[in-house]
Amino acid sequence: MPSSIPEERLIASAKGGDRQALDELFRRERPYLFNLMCQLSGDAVRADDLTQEAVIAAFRKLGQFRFESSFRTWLSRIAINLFRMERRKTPKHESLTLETIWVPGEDDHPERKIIKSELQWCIRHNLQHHLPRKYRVVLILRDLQNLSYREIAGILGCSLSRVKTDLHRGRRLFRAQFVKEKCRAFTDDYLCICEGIVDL
Amino acid sequence: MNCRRARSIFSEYYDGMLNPDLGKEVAGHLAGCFGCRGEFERFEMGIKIFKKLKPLSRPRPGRAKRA
Ligand SMILES: [Zn+2]
Repeated sequence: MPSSIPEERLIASAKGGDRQALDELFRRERPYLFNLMCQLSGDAVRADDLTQEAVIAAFRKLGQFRFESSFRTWLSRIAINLFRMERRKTPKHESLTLETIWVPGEDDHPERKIIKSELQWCIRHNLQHHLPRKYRVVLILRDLQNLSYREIAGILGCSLSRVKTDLHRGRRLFRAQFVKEKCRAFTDDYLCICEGIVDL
Repeated sequence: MNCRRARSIFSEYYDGMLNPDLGKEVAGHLAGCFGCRGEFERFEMGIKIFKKLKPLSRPRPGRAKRA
């Protein structure tokens, strides 16, 4: 199926039972969804599961899609609700081991594990362990996904002022974790990069 | 505009979400207040750091799953 087909047509066809259109629709959105779920859950395996669940849920609910938002916004709402309802708790501090974090390589270098003293570890750790879920979601949607306040309110089903408040508090809280070096207090062997953070 | 008020709307100021008049008021305050200027720089830095988060690789079959 050519990738030039506009989304609206794909959705209409998929709603009418066209399996190929449906596959194409999800093929386009899957990388975005997986990335979002990674950011939220902090775990690629969990993100893969959540993505799969979201696609299945979206498939079941496709008949209810009314073109009132973009397909991506609608899909995000389904996926984020799954994430919020997820029974599995955030892994404990200790379980965030070196083996569980993989980042894609840059340029031609292969993907690699990241080590604790790296900034990537620090950001991830703060995000998953020191930021309440409601702030985490808003921060990710705004600062990583670059969505507008209005789009975020639409996805979360909350007011614009709720988005503003949570974003402000979340951003302050996230920064406070770095500046106050709180992160370091949780792990004895953790060489915190926060000490050099002001030079960034 | 006082310091407390300015700092309470940093987030919206950063995103350019304030109405133009209020935005100018914050900018004016920052220009004249050393403390808030530093505070805003740190606020901005927190966001810049957060934005450095890289995507994860997709799990491959065969790689050990979390226990
Ligand atoms: Zn001031």
